Amino acid sequence: METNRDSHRPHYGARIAEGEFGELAATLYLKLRALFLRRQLDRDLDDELQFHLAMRGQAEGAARRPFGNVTRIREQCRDLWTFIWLETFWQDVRYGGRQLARGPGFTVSAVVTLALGIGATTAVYTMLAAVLWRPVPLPDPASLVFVYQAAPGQEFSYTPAAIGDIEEIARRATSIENLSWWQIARHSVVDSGGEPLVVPSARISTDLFEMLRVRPALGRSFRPDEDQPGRDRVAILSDNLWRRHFGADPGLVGRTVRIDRENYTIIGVMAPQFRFPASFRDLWVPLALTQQDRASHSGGPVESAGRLRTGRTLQEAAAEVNGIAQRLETEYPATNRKRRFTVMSFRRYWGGDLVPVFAGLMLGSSLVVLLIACVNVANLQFARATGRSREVAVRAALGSGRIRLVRQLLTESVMLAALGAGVALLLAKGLLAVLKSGVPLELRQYMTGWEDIGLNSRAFAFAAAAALAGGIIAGLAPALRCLQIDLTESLKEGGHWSSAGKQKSRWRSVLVAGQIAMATALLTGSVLMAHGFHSLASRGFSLHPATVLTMGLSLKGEGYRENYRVVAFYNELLTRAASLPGVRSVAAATGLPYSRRYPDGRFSIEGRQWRPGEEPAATLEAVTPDYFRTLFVPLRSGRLLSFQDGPDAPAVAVISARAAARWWPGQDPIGRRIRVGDRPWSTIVGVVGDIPYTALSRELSAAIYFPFAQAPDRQMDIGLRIAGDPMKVAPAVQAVVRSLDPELPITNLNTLDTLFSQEAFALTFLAGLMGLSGVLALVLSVVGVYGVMAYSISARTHEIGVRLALGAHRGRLIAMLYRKSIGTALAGMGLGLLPACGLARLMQTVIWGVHAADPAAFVGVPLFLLVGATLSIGIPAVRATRVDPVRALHHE
Amino acid sequence: MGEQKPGDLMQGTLDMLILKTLLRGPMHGYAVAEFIQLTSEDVLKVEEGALYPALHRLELRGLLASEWGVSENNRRAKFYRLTALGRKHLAEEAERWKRIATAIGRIMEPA
Repeated sequence: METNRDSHRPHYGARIAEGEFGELAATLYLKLRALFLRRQLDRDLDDELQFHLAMRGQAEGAARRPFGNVTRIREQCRDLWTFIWLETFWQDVRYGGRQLARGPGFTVSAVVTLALGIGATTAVYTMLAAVLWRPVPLPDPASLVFVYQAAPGQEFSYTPAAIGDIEEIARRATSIENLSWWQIARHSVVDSGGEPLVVPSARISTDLFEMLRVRPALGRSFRPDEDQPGRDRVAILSDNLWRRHFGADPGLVGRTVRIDRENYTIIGVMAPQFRFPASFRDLWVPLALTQQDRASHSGGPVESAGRLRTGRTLQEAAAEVNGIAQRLETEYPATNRKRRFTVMSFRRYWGGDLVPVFAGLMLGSSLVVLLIACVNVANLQFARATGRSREVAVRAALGSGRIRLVRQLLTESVMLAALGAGVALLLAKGLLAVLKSGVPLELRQYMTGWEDIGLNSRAFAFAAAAALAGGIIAGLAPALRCLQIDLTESLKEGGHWSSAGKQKSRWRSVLVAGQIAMATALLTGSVLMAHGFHSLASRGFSLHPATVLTMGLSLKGEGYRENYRVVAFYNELLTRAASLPGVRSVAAATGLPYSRRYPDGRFSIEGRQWRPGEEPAATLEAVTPDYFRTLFVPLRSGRLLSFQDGPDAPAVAVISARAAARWWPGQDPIGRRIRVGDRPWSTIVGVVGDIPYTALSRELSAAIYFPFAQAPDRQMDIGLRIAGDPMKVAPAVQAVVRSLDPELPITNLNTLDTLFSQEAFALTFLAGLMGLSGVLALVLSVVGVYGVMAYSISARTHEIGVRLALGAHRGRLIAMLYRKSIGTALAGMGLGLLPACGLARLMQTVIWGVHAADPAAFVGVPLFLLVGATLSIGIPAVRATRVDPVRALHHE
Repeated sequence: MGEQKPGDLMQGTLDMLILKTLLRGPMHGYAVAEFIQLTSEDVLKVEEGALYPALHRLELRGLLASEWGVSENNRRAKFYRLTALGRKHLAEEAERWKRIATAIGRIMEPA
């Protein structure tokens, strides 16, 4: 029939199944089609079987054989066409959704708890991922090796090496090729608008870019002969500087720009992503060296890097370099005694030594918060599971497999976590904004990858993984409990799990103990961190840094060739600044505290002998007389420096208490003589208190102060003690500098407080995050413990009622309930102190101010938690014993 | 899974018989069962509970293709036919079957 012919339609996938496709591809295709044409599949199955029945009915008439169960055959066929796991998963999800909707109180509290954990973890991870695991902007970083001079006995301490040593290593080492070097510097540049600015820069060997296998995006690289003095007035700019201050003018290459008061020809512009050395430079100029410089084993400290020769390892290179160091020791005994070198990988150079530790602490703390959140939700699910035991028992009795039930409960748990992750992403977005705004503006430009921080696909993936893991962790224990339900008991009991009660409360005790253990460890870490950070910052409290305005000046060029001009400039500047309104006192120093200038050097003491290179080292400062008054440095004995200590007066010096204790223990240093290099001997006239020069270093440095008039320097820091807000005076101070020298750039115009925060930024950040994690952990675990205790005590209401009715003493009843539960809490605390000890020891080695045996942490935290636990147990216990015995007996 | 009765077929064998039957041309399920039963002179009875899952399994593996058409008595019916993949598979199975049958025959005969 023609009409019927029209109904001939090819069954799904006929063509696909036809040919060259494999069996698997055919199956997948057919199943996918069936997935979307579910109704058609069902109808076709029915039709096919109906047809068969009809045919048989015709053939066999009344004498029909049993056909078998049509429904079962249809189901059997249908199952073949579907993705069974997907179907059951979807069923689980729908069922779980109904369950969650039925208990909104439970759902909301679980979602919020998980959201806190996942959100905190995601924000921290995103931050770290962006800043730490930033893309490396160099080709083949794995073969890069860096060579530094090692500081004896200090693993994490290394310094730039003498140029002569690096030359020798470059010549002799066979495992390292193309060893190139550089010095970190700052240059003042006059931009296209005529504005002088100071930019981070580097003086580099002319082959550095070639060694790094990079070339400028515009223009050319340095030529080998451009490191000859006289031919070195060429510069390469960063993309950033070129865009921001030279209007991205491609014609700039070949033109002349004023750099450090000299004319430099711009020969190139680097690509935007290029960052080397350190993280961020705006200008590269050749490091010009004379033959004499190159041979020097004491001067011109440079950082250096080369490529590992193919097939050689970092260890081989390190061994070889230190073999060379031993030979240099005999060849140049005057300078190279005991001198060794640190050879490090790009990873270590780029990431630093402490950054991985800091990152581990941050991510670790937030993960502990997530775990605590998971335990809370696990406990919530336990409590709910009790109410559901009947439902579970019914399902099991109806033939639902136990594994299927476990999967159902896990699905619900993961659904909770997924909801939590959704909320968590919002939380993380907010948290990231807070974290980002916490970073001082001055530091942002040095943090590569800063601008990329945000909820990217990596953050989403992380949140999803955290949710999946968290959901499984939170759901596993309650779900496994299902396997132990006694069916008949549960069905008889009508909702109580009485026969399995012991077992269940043991599970929950373990969870509570684990939670308290984690909270103990994390809180101990947070307190150690906060305490350590406070003691670090408190070293500088005596400086009253918030009312000190600082700036850095560097006099360069013809106008300041003679010392007297330098002295005259600074004297004039100080006089004019001192008369500004709001300025209480003003002083100049080679390096103010936290200026990161580190004017460290060696000196000798009259009448004592040292082998060359082993002379005592101290912070050597040239300061104007008002320095001590400006920074509130107290006089301990003798006198301070004065304006009478001029260039023609007898040379004098003032030393810090630490210097006195180190080199003149038990003696009076006043009247002794010291000197730096071949300068005249200076008589010590006074001893002053110690002040910190760096925010993070372990020890306060010993300092020696010389009068600026007797030891003038071109590069000085100016410190001004201000009455009121220092930044309000800043423009006036700037104007004074401009009036003296319009081309002189000013750096670090800030409060001393800000300089401290900048230097201690990473630590502040770590302390803040650990503090936040600690508070979150505390809140979550106290809420969790309270919930469990309240629940387990309310489950005993009936028993309590019986005891009360039989005349039990209320106080003793409370004591009994308390004793039973506090043991769990104590066990948790004990358990948590173990990791806490390990954490304390680690933190002590990497962060100054942290003491592993800190009583605030190791006595305070357990005491605090004990009080918390006592309240969490006591409140529900007291409430339970207040009930009317009659009502309690009726309690279900 | 019911217990094995004498006339029941192992799954792999049933698959082979279905493929072989369809070598004659497109057929619906009922015809396949009938053909096997008649040709085997009632020795092999194909239960519906085994036949339809087998047909669908073979279709899903791409060894059979199906089309809705009109039966000899003018009813809508699903016709199965062998695909190229099915032919190849049948050839392999037949070859294997022949070898096993010969091997079993060698062992059984002398007795």
